[in-house]
Amino acid sequence: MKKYFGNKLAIFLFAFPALLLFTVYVVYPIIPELNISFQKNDGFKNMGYVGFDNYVKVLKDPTFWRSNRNTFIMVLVSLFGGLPISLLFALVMDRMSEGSRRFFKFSSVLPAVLQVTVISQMWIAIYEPQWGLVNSILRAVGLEKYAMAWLSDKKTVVLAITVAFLWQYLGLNALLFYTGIKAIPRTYYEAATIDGAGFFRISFSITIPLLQDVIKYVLVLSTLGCMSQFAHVRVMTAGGPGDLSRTVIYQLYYKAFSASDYGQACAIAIIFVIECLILTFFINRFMAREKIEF
Amino acid sequence: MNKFKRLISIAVALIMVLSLAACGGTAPTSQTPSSSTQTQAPAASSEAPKTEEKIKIKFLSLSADENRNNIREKYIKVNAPKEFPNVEIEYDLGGGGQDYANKLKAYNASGDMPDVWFSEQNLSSVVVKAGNALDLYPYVIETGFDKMFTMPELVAPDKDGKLYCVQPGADQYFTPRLWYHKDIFAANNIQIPKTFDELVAVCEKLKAAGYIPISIVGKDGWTPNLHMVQTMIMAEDPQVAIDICNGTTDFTNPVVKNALERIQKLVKAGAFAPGVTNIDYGPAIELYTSGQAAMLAMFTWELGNLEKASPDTDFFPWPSASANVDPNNVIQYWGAPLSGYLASAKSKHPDVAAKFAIFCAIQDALYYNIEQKAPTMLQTGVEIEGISPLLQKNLDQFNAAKIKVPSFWAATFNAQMSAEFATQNSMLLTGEYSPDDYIKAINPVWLENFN
Repeated sequence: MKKYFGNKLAIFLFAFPALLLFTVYVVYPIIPELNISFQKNDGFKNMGYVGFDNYVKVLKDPTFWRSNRNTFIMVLVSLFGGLPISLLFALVMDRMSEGSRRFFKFSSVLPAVLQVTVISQMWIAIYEPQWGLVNSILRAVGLEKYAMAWLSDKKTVVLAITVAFLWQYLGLNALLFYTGIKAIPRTYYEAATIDGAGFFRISFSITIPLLQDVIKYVLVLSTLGCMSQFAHVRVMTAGGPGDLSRTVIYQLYYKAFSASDYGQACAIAIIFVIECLILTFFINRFMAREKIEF
Repeated sequence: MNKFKRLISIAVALIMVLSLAACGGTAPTSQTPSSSTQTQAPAASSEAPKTEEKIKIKFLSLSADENRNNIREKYIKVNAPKEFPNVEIEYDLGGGGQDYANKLKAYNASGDMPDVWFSEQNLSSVVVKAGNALDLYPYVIETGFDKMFTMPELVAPDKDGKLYCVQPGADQYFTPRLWYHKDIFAANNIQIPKTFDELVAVCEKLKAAGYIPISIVGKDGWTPNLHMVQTMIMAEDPQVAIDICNGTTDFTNPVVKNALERIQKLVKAGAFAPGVTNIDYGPAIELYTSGQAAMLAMFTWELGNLEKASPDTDFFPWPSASANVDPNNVIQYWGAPLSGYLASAKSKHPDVAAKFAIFCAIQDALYYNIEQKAPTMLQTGVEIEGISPLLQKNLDQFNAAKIKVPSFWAATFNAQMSAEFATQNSMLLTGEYSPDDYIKAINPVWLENFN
């Protein structure tokens, strides 16, 4: 092993295919995008360079800031609501009997493998104002005054979409956490149990600290998944009512394909890349500083 | 175990190679343009040897409304094999509304257009501007399609001498109406409203009786986009709508603000279904035909379907908001020069694509003549018999109206204006968005594009 990894040529040869694909599909597209972001461009032709005009227009556009706010609401709800629930679910799954665990494993993966359109349509039905599940339950328990058009009300629409999105990936995240838990040596748990530690003590003192690598991985995946949220919004509300539930990626799509303004769309894309880089930096900075070895 | 792993690795490698091959562009077929030309004329193609490889074209059509689906399934699909025996048509179903618009725009941006497609003016103009639409004028002359119209300007070339769109000539008869259930009105002792204030009072009465007063398509602001804003403008002063079509006024015109306030008043009166901003075309029709909604704001292209689904259906023109406007004298019509069938300038088989577009326009007109008993500007030779009393009433009122204004959404707006208009209309339907904010947002886009 040492022989191979000490050889720089071997490292280069092994890394080259991945590097090439990354450059062609990730790095290279940013260059023409950057170029178009300085143009007045309708998607078909360059109608002249306009300097930072597109960036100024984007940054002055209240819809862009609203779409950022919506995106960050989704990220925050996902991180502070979704991930703890997934983790709790994984911890409980670890304690289940084999039969129940198998059932929950299957149930966890099912929503994640279903098409986003299927999930979104299901949640549209759940939120339907007149006969949807949510309002029906509210009416049945005497809370009719809280029944509303969840996807048409500006106060609830973003959260309603976020819940649908979270629900789809809650199980998958739980499964990732569970895989991490299974990798922790059982001897730690046996020792803690002998010392009289209960479920919560074991979870907070052993499981969660030793899961840092997995938590970081799920955190990055969830954050970037929420940041690039598009499909659920497209199907469930088309960004509406008006522009109230647009995310940054939806706003980019709207500018490019609805308003035919590729210049502004590319400016949004560049700003979005910067936002993602900053977020990833912070996640890397504050999570899993040391490599955990068992 | 190692052997097994090796086998798995080889299988995975093979799958990857095959996937790459599948993702790559297909090699050009052996057909040359000249050989495809030989198969294009219907007569010639019918004599072609059976072994000859069929040429393929792609047809993109709307698939969210019943009329478009019927035209495609019952007419185009049925008759195309007889007319084009050596052509294999791939039917691309594009959905409806903004989904369809975005799909077509994505095709347009890539330059890889379907060979033939259906689109309205605001979308077609984007494609024409990009140079992706084929000039159909030579084919129109060659096939004698131009002789089939009672309104020759519908097949006249544009200023540049080109004709990019062939239409069935049905659109010019389409106008927005307020459809209503006679039974519901009678059961609740409701009279036909003649003024806007009476309409609001009717809505309040219907809502109190447990009905959705008016069903509209709220998703992406569809109904206000296509006609309600213009209808409300015309209810007070039709000239302002004409001025918008001609680009001689803007959205700061006080009549526009009054029109928006009237829509807001309807929203606040509970005239529309809860969650209206998320109601699509099909569900909106369903709300009406199922009897949950007492009225439906819709164009006359649904007349035949509504009559079948709800026999107690009748209509009245949108009530006026001014003593100077007689609602029976004012009509908003849908047609626009670029609303119809277009063919791709980059089609590998331009002759076939052009003739297929013309064929589609004829099938479209046949559908309206035969199934809907509706007249079209394109004369198909079908004698329309058994016109229903409701359709006759519609035609009589249409013909008697002296002021006919084209839809500014269909005939004037470009992509940017349509997109912003849709956003603002969707916001307006929330009932929590002021007409002043609406005008503040839309007018700069209007001025940027049309001044």
